Amino acid sequence: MQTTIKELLDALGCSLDADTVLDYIQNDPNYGNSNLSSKQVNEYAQRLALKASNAKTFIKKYEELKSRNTDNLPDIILLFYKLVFDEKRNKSSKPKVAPKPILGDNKHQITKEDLPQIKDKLLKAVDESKKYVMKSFEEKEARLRPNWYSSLDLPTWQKDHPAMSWDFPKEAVPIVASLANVPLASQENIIIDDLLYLFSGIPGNYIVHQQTKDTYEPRSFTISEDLDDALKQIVQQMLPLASNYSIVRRFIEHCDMWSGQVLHALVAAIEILLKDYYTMIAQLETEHISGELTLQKLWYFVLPTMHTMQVLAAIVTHIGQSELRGGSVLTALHDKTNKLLGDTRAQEISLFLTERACKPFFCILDQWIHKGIIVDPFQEFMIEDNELVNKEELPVDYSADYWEKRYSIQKDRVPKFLEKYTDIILRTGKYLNVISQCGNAIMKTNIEEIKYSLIEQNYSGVVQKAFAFASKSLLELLLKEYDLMGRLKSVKNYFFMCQGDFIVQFMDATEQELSKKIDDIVPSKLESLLGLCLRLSAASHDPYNEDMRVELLPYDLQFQMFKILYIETEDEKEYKQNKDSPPLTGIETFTFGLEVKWPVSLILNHKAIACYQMIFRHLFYCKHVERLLCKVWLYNKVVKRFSEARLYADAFALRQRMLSCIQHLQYYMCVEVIEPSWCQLIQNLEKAKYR
Amino acid sequence: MPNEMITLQLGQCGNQIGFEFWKQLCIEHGISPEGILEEYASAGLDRKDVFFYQADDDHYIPRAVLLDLEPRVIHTIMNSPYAKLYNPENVYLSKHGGGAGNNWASGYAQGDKLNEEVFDIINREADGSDNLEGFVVCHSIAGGTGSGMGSYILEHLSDRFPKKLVQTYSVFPNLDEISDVVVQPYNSLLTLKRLTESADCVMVLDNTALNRIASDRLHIPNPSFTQINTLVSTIMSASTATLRYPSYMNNDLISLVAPLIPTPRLHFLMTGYTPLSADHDLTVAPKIRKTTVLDVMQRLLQPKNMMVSLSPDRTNQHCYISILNIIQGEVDPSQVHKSLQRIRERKLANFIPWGPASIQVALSRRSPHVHSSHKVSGLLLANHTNISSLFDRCLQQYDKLRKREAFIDVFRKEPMFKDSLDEFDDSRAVVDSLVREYHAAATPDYVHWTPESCQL
Repeated sequence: MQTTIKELLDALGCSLDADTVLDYIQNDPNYGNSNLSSKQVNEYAQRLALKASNAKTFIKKYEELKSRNTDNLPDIILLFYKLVFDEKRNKSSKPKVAPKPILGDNKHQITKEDLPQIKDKLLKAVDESKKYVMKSFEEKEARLRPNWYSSLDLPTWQKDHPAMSWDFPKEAVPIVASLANVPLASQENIIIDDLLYLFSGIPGNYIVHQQTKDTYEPRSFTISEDLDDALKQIVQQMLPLASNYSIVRRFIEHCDMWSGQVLHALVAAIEILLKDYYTMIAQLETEHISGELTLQKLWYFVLPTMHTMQVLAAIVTHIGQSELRGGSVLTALHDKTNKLLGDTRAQEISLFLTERACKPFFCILDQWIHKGIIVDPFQEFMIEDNELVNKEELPVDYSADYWEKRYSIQKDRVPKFLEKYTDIILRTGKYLNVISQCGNAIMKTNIEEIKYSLIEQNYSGVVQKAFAFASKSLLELLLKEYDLMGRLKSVKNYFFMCQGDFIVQFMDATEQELSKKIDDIVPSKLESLLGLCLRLSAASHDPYNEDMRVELLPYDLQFQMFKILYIETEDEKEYKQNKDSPPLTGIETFTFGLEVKWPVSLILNHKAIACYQMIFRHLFYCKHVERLLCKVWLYNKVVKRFSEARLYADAFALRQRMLSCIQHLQYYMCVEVIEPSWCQLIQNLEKAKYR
Repeated sequence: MPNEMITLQLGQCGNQIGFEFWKQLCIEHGISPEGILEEYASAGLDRKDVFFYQADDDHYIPRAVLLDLEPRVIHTIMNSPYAKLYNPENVYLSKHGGGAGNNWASGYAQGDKLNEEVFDIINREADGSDNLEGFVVCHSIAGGTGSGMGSYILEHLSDRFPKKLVQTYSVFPNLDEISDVVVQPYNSLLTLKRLTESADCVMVLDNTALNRIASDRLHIPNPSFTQINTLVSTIMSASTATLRYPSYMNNDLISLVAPLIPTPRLHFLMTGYTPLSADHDLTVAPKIRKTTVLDVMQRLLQPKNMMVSLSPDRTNQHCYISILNIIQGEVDPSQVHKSLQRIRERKLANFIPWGPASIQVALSRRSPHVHSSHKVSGLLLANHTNISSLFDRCLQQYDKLRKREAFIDVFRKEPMFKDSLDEFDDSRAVVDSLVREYHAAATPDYVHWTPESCQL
């Protein structure tokens, strides 16, 4: 147990001592009697992984431990979950009760007297977290269901008519008939009859099924004691077929409306296989009726089928027990298919199932990467559309969030074989979606169907082609219809001061206003001055000059930078404190704003504009300093008429040094940093255009 | 419109180079000789309003004031296709039309007499601009009108517009050939004093060097005034390129000039231009060579490309106070960086020991309407201490004449010199102190230098 803890701790990236934790667990009164379902434990582990420094390794470790069937795993997970989760909650929402001491330090000062108290708190915490988890599950369940769920009145056939099941009846039936004193040859005949029944899910007279606790538990059978031992042996060998059949059947019937298209497709595929199976049983029966079937022969005949059924049962057990659905089913199937590499027959079956099960998924994928829409009523697809609001009622900074939040990858639903292309697939659809949101029809040129294949590389063709098409269309749309290039040029003109005359003119006009304290500045005045300058300078030829705005930020650039970098050394602290005293002047707070419309706002989003603004503010301030120095120069020039001019030489030399410094700095920033980067951007855009 | 410049063209030489300058600007901005924007000229790329303004019928009028005391050159201009370009109100010809007779004092006196009429024009022009940045004065320092009247106007410009920049393009006489103006050394000296005390930035255009460049570099045996003036207009247009084609930096004259002139008196700038190509006016076509940024920048530092003839610096004391290269054409900024590094490594330019020493570079676009056969061209604006040798020569020539009291009578006739010749001595002292200051600027302790502490 200690090793388990240690391994998990390592994976969590936690610095706790395994021994401490072990002690802690064994002191827990709840230890050993937490009746958690595997699903809950899974959920806990998932949540823990989110908190862990390295989520993947943790999950991997957990799966590994689970597959090893490690003792106490649920308990450990629960404890970890409790600790991490409660700790977080305490931090975020100032609890009414005193914060629960976290494990690390409570071990150091803990005394015997404190233990019951801690136990109480822990118990409470566990209860709370349990409630919370249950609630979130319920919410999730509710969310999963489409809104027409409540209006739907589904018949409850399976409940009302248990006999409709193709599986064995739920309750066990006793053996009523007796085989005592029946001769061996007849016994064989009777037992073949019974077996054929059992194979198709009907209890026989002398062999009957037993009840199962769990849906995917292998079924065991009771064989009449009077049966000859030799026959019994053969029968025993064949019974797993019936058991496996029962598992497959139960899996099929367990599938309901909400299981999703992928599972339905899988079930349909299994049904096809079962049809063959029934045909075989029917043939065997015919054989039997004509009296030519012996138990040995039967064994010989069902042997391959037994194997098939075993594979099927293994697959469905895995899927059913983990309650997989959607994309993760495909992952499971894919893995299974890969694992069965040495077993041609089994692989064939698995491949068949995977191919069939993939179909609905690929159908959604196809719609997504070729049309940019998600038709996924059962939440199975790897990408989730988080909101379906209309474009018109979007919040202002929607564009910024659009790429990040509107569509999100659901990690657990990504089929393993598409993992490599997840990002590309996400982007492909997003691009197409943008195009259609702009009101443009998507000319679907690619009708290549996606087919399941064991080799991951085979998807790349289709996916890449779709991606190329989508990105090309979007780029073309942005460049041609929305004149992205012109937009960028306009940004360069204003924010990077590329159009120097405009900036000079603007600074001339606003100098007085901007030298005031921030509270005294009238923004509307700046706004009108900006408009004037835009109309009068060379900027009047820019089609986008209407979108320029004036912004006064309540902090200066340095503060902003520190905020972003968040360095906390002594020096900066000192600097920040000093900063509080003098109110900012307009020059320090001024920046241009830019209004961008959809879909250009996807690229020139708030984040980008904030970056531009930071660069602009720096350049603007440098320009301001340069202008001040030039002004000093103008004041100084009168000195040349006086013979005392020489006395100021020191000061002039200093001014010269400052001017030279600021001009070189500006030159460096503009000509050696901004301009080359701009050229590179343009080049890349050109390249992308003709790719 | 902000940062307008008003051009004052004075005298024969001033009007000639001014005429070429406007011709060049018209071509670069796609403005026809009548002032109408050509159809091929697209809007939004350049700023015409620095040097032009628009009349009610939208045709462009230069912010130029043409002044002369004799009608010859102005008549030539008014008979050229560009006659309609200028605002006729801004063309001022002295009524008696007798000229200044190459006499500085006469020009100065007439300037005083015509003071009100001239400044009426200048004031009107200044009022017509939103945010006047300064004046550009084109003149020669040797003649009568440009030097004498120019001196008068310079003195009063800086009085009336103390916050405006006064930049001059001053043509220095050709010292290689014997001038027909015998009092030239007197005129030069007297003008130099005004240039020192009243102008903020003097672009020295040395006829000696211009002639040498025309004959040696462009292989024109006997260069005409027009050919020489084409060189001048090239420089003038290139030095204003950053104002007219705005980019990241140097979009007003002050930011261009201020870093070049650390202390107010040392404001005499040399120019250099490369590659010099025979323009449409120059008949001989030189070979077109490959131009790179490094090549251009290195050539600009060679004395033979400098448009000022300096006496060779034998003692190797002299150095650059500042350098600004205006590079035009298709330029990769990284090349500029590399070139600067190369120049630094090879120590191609010596700088003053007391201040920031480096070559500044301004990148500028070219006019889309002028097709240059060269990819890169460059203009050098430099403040070099050796320019004092030019003034030194002026002083020497003056001393030679003054010793003999030659031709001094012409000056005595004018009111300024009626009573005494103190003005001559005063001017000599000013120019002499300027020379010494330039010498001092080459030494490390310049910042603590006073005129008295220096011995030549």
